[in-house]
Amino acid sequence: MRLPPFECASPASLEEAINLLGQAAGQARVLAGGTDLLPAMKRRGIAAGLLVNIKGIAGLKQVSAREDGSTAIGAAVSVNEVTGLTAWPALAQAASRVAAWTLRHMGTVGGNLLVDNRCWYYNRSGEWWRGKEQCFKRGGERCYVFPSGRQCRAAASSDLVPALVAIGARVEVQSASGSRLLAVKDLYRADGAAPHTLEPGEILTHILLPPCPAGTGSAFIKLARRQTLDFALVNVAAVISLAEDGRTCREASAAVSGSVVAPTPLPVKQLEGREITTWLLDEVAGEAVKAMGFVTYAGAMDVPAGYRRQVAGVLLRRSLEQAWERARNA
Amino acid sequence: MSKILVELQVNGESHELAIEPHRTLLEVLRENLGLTGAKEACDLGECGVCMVLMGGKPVLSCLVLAADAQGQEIVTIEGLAQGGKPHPLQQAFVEHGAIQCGYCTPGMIMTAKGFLNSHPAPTEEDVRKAIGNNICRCTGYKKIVEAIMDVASQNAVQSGEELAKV
Ligand SMILES: Cc1cc2nc3c(=O)[nH]c(=O)nc-3n(C[C@H](O)[C@H](O)[C@H](O)COP(=O)(O)OP(=O)(O)OC[C@H]3O[C@@H](n4cnc5c(N)ncnc54)[C@H](O)[C@@H]3O)c2cc1C
Ligand code: SF4
Repeated sequence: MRLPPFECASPASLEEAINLLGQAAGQARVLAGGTDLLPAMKRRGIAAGLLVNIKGIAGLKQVSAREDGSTAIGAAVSVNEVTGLTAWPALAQAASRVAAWTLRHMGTVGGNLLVDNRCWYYNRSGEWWRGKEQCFKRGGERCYVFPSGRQCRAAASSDLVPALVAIGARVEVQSASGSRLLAVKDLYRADGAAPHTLEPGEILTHILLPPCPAGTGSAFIKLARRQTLDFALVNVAAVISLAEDGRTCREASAAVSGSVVAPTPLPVKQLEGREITTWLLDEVAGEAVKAMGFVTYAGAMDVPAGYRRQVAGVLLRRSLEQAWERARNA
Repeated sequence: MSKILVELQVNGESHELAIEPHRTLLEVLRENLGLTGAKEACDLGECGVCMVLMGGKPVLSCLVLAADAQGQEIVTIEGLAQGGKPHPLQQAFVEHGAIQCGYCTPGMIMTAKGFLNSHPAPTEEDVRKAIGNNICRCTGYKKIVEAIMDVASQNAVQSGEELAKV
């Protein structure tokens, strides 16, 4: 499968990149590691007249500490580099489960957050789609996975995102009209055909991790068919902070992805102010997983929704327990 | 689409080429430079047969724009043997019978080379994960893993000197 023709620019500064994107009026795309964008262009799922390569922008390739105690990860930092960031174990765990080692030093963190939603039909070649009625995600008016659906339900597939949502990370976004800061969860909408809330001229520049408070533990668990090189069927992350007594939960959060259209926070606040026990974790996880809402199996259609929902509950329960254990040892 | 001038450093030689911006490193290696060791199969980053080293790290050359490879040292399977002598990894693949049809072999060896560059003393599980991006449909991976582990242990004995030379 070959790429269609396009122009490519490699600006050395963020300003230049933003200008190029602004001038291209929606015809341009950011090229980072290219491990998601280039296959999509080969399959004729995504078209662009201009690719703006951001790998030459030095400021986007660093991890730095900010004055407020947060850690700023440049969007063009490789996923492999994140496996070495130890402040939030859930994030390092998630990074080490992205694709394979080879793809992780090509792929960037920013690209991972903006990886396209996946679907068995959508991810077929342009050749397969030739002459067929196009689906919502390809600009058509029907869905092959959920034939009665009025909207695309391709699956959110990043591994870093549930970890970042549970951690409460934010992203910095820049465009010609300035910069804005938003919670990672607000980067997504529940529409598989247009799953990201970034505007065409915007560049994601940094991911901001809050400092990890004392007595805090975090964990990430992914279910996929293979240990490497396989997108998640379900992935879950959880964070637990303990009060000074070492037993009472001060703060808790969790998120799920892989079987949902947009990465979804799971409400585990019921833990807060209570002494954690394994029974309590059972109860809270069982209730919280209901917030998953619609479960999609578009990413791998041989794994049914009921099973995915059940596994999500199990993974939530396990990740809470792992986070709790880490919090006790923190 | 207008062409652009690109200078590529491949296996120690410099090549100046006029290419279209959408051409991948794999296409240029195979079609402009005649280096057909890296293979074109899935072309989507899933199978690993196009693996080459860029700046010492293995990359899927089907997902790298040739223009983006400028200024980086590229090594393909053709560049591994030195003075007619196979690279230790090539030798080990032969000795362990880690080759059947041979189609995945260049990619497999380039991944292993890049991996050992940065992980000189891996465990068997590390090696299995490292080649997770390389698909082989003949050997069942056992002999491939044994060949790589063999070089890793030779490497440990020789404190990495021989491999580091390439
Ligand atoms: C075989 C295979 C297996 C994979 N398995 C996994 C997996 O298990 N888990 C997983 O999470 N991912 C997986 N991936 C997807 C991908 O490799 C990673 O998500 C990677 O981190 C994407 O980063 P990139 O830099 O290559 O993105 P790119 O392909 O460069 O970009 C992806 C998208 O984001 C946009 N973009 C990139 N950076 C920015 C920015 N800074 N600002 C604005 N827009 C931007 C691009 O325009 C594009 O639309 C897999 C990919 C392949 C080919
Ligand atoms: S889920 Fe989305 S991408 Fe898949 S067939 Fe339906 S509309 Fe197309």
